[in-house]
Amino acid sequence: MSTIKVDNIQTTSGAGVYPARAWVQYTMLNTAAITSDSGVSSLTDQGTGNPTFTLDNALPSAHGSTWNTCGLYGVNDEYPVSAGGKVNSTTQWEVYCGSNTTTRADWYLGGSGLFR
Amino acid sequence: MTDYRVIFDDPDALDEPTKVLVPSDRWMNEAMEGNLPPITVYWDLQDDEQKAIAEGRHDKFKHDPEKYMKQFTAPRIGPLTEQEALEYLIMKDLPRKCWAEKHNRPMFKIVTKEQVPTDRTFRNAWEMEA
Repeated sequence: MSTIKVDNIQTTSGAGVYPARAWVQYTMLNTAAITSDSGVSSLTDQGTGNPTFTLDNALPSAHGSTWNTCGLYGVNDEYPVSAGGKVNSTTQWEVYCGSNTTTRADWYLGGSGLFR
Repeated sequence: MTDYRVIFDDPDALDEPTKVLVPSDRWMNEAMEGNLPPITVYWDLQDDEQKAIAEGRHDKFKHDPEKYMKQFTAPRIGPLTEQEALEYLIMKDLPRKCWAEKHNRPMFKIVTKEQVPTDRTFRNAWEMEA
């Protein structure tokens, strides 16, 4: 396997390209688990619908944008729900998994990540 | 795939539910293959960030570039056993006050996956047994 190491990525026209620093697919139903990831060393189950993810390596500063999407709410429940998240520090981001806009819930399958 | 989990409490927030740290299998493999820098590389970064938080300048904080780069350039420490990898992860990902400070009871425990309850009905009321 080869590794490309660069400080910045640009298109041929000079526009910046900003790949994800990390991504993770996880479950919070029954026992919390990471199903697959890149750049995430651990998940911390903090309570219902509230995992945090710790990065393999720290970011240069505690800024970035997260995403958090519900893949499956339950084993066969394919419907959209509310979600949120934020960068807490240079090493962690936290997400909120909802069943609606006011209640947190443990999803069967979620996907999250961090851009910076 | 590791069967271990780490349950822990925040000593400053004992009323909060017990937390469960789940290691990434990919990261554990990296550790067992010997691809990690010395843990002090991460501690140095954590110390600097904690200082910035304490001084109210976290918003504008940036890691020292030399210390930041050590994450990628420091000599690797060599292969770890699963137990050693887990201990490294605890020292990297758990709040330091959980494992580096003395309390009147342990603030974390390494458990097997099977020891973590699967019924999450009262998840926000979980407490760690003393």
